[in-house]
Amino acid sequence: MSKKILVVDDEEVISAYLQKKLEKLGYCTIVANDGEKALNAAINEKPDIVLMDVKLPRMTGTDVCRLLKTDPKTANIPVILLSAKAQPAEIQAGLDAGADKYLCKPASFPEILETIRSFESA
Amino acid sequence: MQDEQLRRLLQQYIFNLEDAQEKAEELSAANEGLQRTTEFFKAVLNCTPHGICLVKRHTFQWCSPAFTEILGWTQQDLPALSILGICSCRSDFDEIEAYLNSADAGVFLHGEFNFMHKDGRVIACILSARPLDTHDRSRGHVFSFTDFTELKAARDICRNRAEELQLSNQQLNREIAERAKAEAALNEYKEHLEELVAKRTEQLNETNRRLLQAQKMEAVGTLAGGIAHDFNNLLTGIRGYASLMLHGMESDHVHFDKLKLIEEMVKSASDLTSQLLGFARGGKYVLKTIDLNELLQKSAAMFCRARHEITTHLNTGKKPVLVEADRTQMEQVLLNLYMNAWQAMPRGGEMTISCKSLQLDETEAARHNLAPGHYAAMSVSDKGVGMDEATMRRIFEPFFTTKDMGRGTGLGLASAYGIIINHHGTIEVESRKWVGSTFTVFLPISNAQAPSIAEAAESEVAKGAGTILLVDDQPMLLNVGKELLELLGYRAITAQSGAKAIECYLKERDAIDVVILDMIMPVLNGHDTYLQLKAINPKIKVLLCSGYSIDSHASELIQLGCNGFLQKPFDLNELSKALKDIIN
Repeated sequence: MSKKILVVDDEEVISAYLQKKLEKLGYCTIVANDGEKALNAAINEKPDIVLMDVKLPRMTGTDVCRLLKTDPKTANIPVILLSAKAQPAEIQAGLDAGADKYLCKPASFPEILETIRSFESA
Repeated sequence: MQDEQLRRLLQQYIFNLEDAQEKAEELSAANEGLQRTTEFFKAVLNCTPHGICLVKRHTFQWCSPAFTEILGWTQQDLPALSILGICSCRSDFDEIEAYLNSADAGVFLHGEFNFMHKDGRVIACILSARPLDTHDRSRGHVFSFTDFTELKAARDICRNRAEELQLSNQQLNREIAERAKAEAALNEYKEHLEELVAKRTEQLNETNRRLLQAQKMEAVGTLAGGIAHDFNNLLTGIRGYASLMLHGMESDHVHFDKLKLIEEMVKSASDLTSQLLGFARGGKYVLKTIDLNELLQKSAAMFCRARHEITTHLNTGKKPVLVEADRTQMEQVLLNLYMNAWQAMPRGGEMTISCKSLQLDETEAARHNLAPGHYAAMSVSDKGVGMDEATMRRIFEPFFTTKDMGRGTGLGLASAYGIIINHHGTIEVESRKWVGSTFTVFLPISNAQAPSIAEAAESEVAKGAGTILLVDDQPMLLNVGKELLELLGYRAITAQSGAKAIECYLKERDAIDVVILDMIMPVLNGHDTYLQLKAINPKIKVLLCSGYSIDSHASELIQLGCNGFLQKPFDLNELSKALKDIIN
């Protein structure tokens, strides 16, 4: 049974690339391009992992993360934040919102994959 | 913010780079695969014995080394070479052209074709062709050529062998069937072997018995003939003198009745010798084509007029049944058979007479001791006392009779037997005691036309004139003959031997009108005497005379021109008639 990953990014180049690479490796992906859609998809689709940008239209990745982590139904879903915001305060805010990992852009796909796999085995 | 923007751009750049790198790796892998495939196909094309070509718009674009090996054309020749140009016959050309011009995606080509080798030879090939792209035939066609020359020769040999094999198989089957048939026949034959042996032995015994019987009959026949001959000579004398004494004698003369009785007894004796001669083998008769049906009808009617107690059934067809036979002799045979039937039915009864023609094949003919052929079969059946096997075996022997002493001579059936055998036929008897007997006569059918029947009218004594040379070794016969001739008005000269006859004829050739020549004489017989007389005068008139019936010598002389035959004993009437016939 392949793992289901929710990929969230408003930049199509990024989400499309991640989706292509992950599916090539056998993952099942759901793509969302704003915060609201990401939240709905996480609640409805129950992904195994959420890989999400922080700066998103309608609702930020940090807010979506917080809401997910406060809802017992989704609190266990690992959330990896992948953001161009690399200031320590920004990173801290993400972690405070309950993110399980905060990756700063630019990150290579092998690096992202390694992070995803670290949650898989957990 | 600037840092964030930069990071975002960098992220896109990294992902693009990664993507490009991956594509490059994929392409490289694909390229390597392609190269391997190309190498594989190249190796395949180089090692396959099938010549592969690419043809576009009828022209060769590329060819494999095998193609050059098969047809001699090299890659350099290709630009000027058309696939249709190397076809060696019109039908191949048409078929390939039709394929190339077809727009139907599903049309392929496969078959035997003949192509021109570069050196001019014709090479038989198995050709396969299909479009490079079935959706776009304009992209060209791949042709595969397989050298079929040797295979074709081998195939032809195989076909011939197969045909030969089939033929020999058929032959073998036929032989097997025949063998099976023969075996079945053999088995059946084996089963009936004992029966067949017994039957064959019986047949052999029967043939043996018949042979002995025939030999016996022949010996007796010769004896009977000799006796009859001498007897006829004696009777001729007695008859002649009786005729001479009666001639001019008044009927109230004291010896008239006695002489008449002598004449009658001589007549009976003459009938007896005639029966004997009929039986005697070797004699020939005056053969004419006669219709047995007509003969049977007449003879049966005549016989029934005299024997009212016998009812006769006549089964003869309307179509004539013709045979070559002596009519008088045949009448004698029939009379003997009728007499036999009548005597077998002392209280009267039914006699059935029938006649038919039939074809006897080899087996049937052998059963009757005859040569195969077409025969007339006439039979006389009675419902009389019949006879047992022992009697049947001896029934044709002369002087064998079942009748009381004095009632029959025992010559009737023997005479019938002799006559029929002499006519190249046979006579057979079937009989059952107290049931009846059937006598069947087989005679060879004649192919001649039906005869016209002319009954000889009884003639009066006809007097004549002229000189007759009478030749006989018996002085008594010369005397009586001379007197008879003179009584008839002729001048008679006599000669007691052939030599004297010739001497006489040389002296008086102009005066002699007719020579009466006896057949049986010592030293120079009638036959040789005639030949010498004929040499002196080819137009000489000769009347043959014998105590035998006409035999083969006499028949030959008649053929050579002899003018007639006079059977001894003769009377005045017969002598005068015979002479008149010749002189006139």
